[in-house]
Amino acid sequence: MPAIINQPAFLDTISQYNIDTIVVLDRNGIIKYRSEKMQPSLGWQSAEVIGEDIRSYIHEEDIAFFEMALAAAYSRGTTETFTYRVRACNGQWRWLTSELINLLTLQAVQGFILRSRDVTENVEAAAKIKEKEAYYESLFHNNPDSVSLLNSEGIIEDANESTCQIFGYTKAEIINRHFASFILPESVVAATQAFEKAWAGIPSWIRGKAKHKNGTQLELSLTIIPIIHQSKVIKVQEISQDITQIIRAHKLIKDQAEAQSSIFESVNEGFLTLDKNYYITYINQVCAAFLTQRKEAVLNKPLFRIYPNLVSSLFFRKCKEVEQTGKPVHFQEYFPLTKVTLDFDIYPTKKGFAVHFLDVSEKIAQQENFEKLFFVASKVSNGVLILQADFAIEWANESFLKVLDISLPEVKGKRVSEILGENNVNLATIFEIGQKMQSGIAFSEDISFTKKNEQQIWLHVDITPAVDESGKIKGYFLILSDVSELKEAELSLQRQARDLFIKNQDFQQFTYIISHNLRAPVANALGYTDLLTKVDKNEPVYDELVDKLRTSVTRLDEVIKDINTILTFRDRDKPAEKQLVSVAGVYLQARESLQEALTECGALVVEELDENCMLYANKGYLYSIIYNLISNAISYRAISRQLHLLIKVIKTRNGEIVLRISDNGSGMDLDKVKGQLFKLYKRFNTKVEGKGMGLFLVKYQVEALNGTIVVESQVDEGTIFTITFRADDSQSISN
Amino acid sequence: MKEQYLPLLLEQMIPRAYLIDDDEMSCYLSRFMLKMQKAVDEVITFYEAKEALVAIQAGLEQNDLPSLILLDLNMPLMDGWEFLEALTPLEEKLKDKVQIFILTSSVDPADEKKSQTYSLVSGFIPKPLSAESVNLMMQQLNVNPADSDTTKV
Repeated sequence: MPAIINQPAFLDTISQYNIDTIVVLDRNGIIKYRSEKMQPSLGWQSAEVIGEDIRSYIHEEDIAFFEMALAAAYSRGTTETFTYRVRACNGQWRWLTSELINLLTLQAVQGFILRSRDVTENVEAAAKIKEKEAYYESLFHNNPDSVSLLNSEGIIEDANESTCQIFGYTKAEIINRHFASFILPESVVAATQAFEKAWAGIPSWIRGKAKHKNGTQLELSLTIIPIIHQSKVIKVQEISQDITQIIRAHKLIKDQAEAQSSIFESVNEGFLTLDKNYYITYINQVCAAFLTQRKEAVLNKPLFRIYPNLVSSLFFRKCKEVEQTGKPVHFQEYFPLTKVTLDFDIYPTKKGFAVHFLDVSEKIAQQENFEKLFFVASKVSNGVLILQADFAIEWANESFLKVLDISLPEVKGKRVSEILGENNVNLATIFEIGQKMQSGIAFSEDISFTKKNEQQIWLHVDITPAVDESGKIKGYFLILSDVSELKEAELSLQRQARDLFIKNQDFQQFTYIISHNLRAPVANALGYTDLLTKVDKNEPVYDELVDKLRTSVTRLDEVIKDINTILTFRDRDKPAEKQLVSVAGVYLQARESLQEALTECGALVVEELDENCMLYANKGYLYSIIYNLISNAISYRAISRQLHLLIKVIKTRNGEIVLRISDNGSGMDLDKVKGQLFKLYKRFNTKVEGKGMGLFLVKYQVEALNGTIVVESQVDEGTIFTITFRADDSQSISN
Repeated sequence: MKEQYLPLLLEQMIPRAYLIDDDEMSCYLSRFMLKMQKAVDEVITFYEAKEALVAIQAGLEQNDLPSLILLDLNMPLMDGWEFLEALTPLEEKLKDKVQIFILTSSVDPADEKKSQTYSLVSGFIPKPLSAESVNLMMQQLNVNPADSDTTKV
């Protein structure tokens, strides 16, 4: 056999079955030999390539691999296989895998053997697989939705990054868990069914709810797809899309729409929307009630066709105006049939019009009423004043301003006390009224007011506070009427009543005088006269009776004189002739007259006289007062001790003049004599002669001089009479 | 002539009367008339009502009261009305023993009317006290003796 083997025919024949192509290269890479009938894929004839540098067939990007392999073969003898592209006869590139064997030193070859195989088909197939894998990878890993791979038991074998993001777990936490453990119980059944369907080869889609690691709920769109290999389901892929935000957004939109609708329903405004053809697209309850229709009955109906009367309305024209201008309008229209006034707003919308309207009939009626009232308030003869809670003037009518001779801008915002002066009113009164106003109760007050022309008038003020719901005072309404005439009449009536009262008292007193004081001596005289007729002239008692009769008649004469004196003093309607007199001076005159009596009883008189006390008074009265009081002090002195008299004439800080006469006489028990001391013919000391007229006259005279008299007394200690004259009637000499 | 003013029908003279009046002239006259008519044995005069009140209070304790009081109305300090008011609490004890006659210069009917409201007051006599009014008063006293003991004497 060896002989056969060495035959060239043998070699050639067997080499035909060799899938490899053998090329022999010299040390420079020049092709020296190529096995025939081989590598049909390249298409080159051996004759074409022998003597060529192999590098001229190799793709320039792969030359480096070849050189590296050649260098390796050179040094190490053989090389690893290497893959590179070679140009075929038709110009295409073919992939070859080759190895180089260094047979340079072998005498029979003296070159490199390049054993090659065409692997173009393999390389392209591999490249296709790689591309597919990359595509899948991309689909899997970069998918914004969660993608997971489940095995037949539903255990998650792989999951993408989105899965981690959507569910909030790390990949390690997800892998090897059952897919259903992420699904909320309410969605587990549907998800399990879809999973089972997928294993049966049918993909399905469901909506379900799952739970994020942080506990929040996720709305998911789940797609469960079988992965089929060789007609068999090998895995199931689960794709979960997080639609939480979408669902929420939908819900929000729905809620908002409902809220909007409920707003339109709850407002007391009528609201309706019309499309461009005036079909009602929305109508709220108020509007429907206004049209006396159910909402459903008019919805989607053409407004002006179901209410043809409206075509003649301003409303219709305004709708047209909005349609043309695209600008909102606002107007009011009175509907005579229903007797209402509506306040309209019409806005253009994308789809047509939005109409708001409010029934302002009542408001207009109120406004009209208010205008009427305002007219009345501003024109009435009574003063009308509106104050804010802080007493600042908000408004005043013409009459009020006229009284003050001032204009509205001058008073507005000012406080009442600021525009009134001490010349106009008593500010203390105004202050008191202000205090009273804060109580929140309506009241009336009469105020004396002096106008600019110095005319004094009386104002009757009705004050009504305006109170809000919480009871807080918002302001005040003041109505002022000039009641001067009324007030004058009232004051005059009061004066008359007082005078009448005094007159009546006087009359009673006079009756008393007649029946007791006047009649007593008359009765006595009568009695004695009668007795004289019954007694013998010669009896000694007769003369005694005559004497008594004389005494009685004398007494009668005295009483008549007293009555005359009193009546002279009491005629108060005649203004007493007043002159400026010195109180001290009058006292000194009275003392002079009584000097004899004072000396006789050895009285000690101490005086404290302010010469400056001048009084407008009837001098006679003043003299009589002082004379009577000192005379009384002498009469009722204590027998056991020297009479001490203290006379004071002083002026108080208020300008009043005080005359005080104090004695250390027998005094009185004031509790007993109270109320009678100054009455006519009331005597309290029966041991001393007296008619009981002195103090009666003193009191009348003091009162005639606008003064007051006060008495203090202790039995056996003394008496003090204090007479006070008003400051108005007093004057200093310096003035 | 003079005889006709002497007491005609008086069987008994009143042993004692109080005269309360501040007018001395009037008191003299009243006493004179009571004596002249032999109506009262003893007349005790009080110029102040207060003193009479004290005497009556003492008399009540000692069972020594006048059967007649002649009372003036217009008096200083305590007047006739005040005296009557002061007696009101003693009314029960006094009513069978004492009769009060108002003797006043007043001619005001209001005073007479007012006097009738006091049960102790038996009559209203205007001054001056005349023989006729003394007789009338005595008649009234005998018909309605204030004190049965007195009538026996």
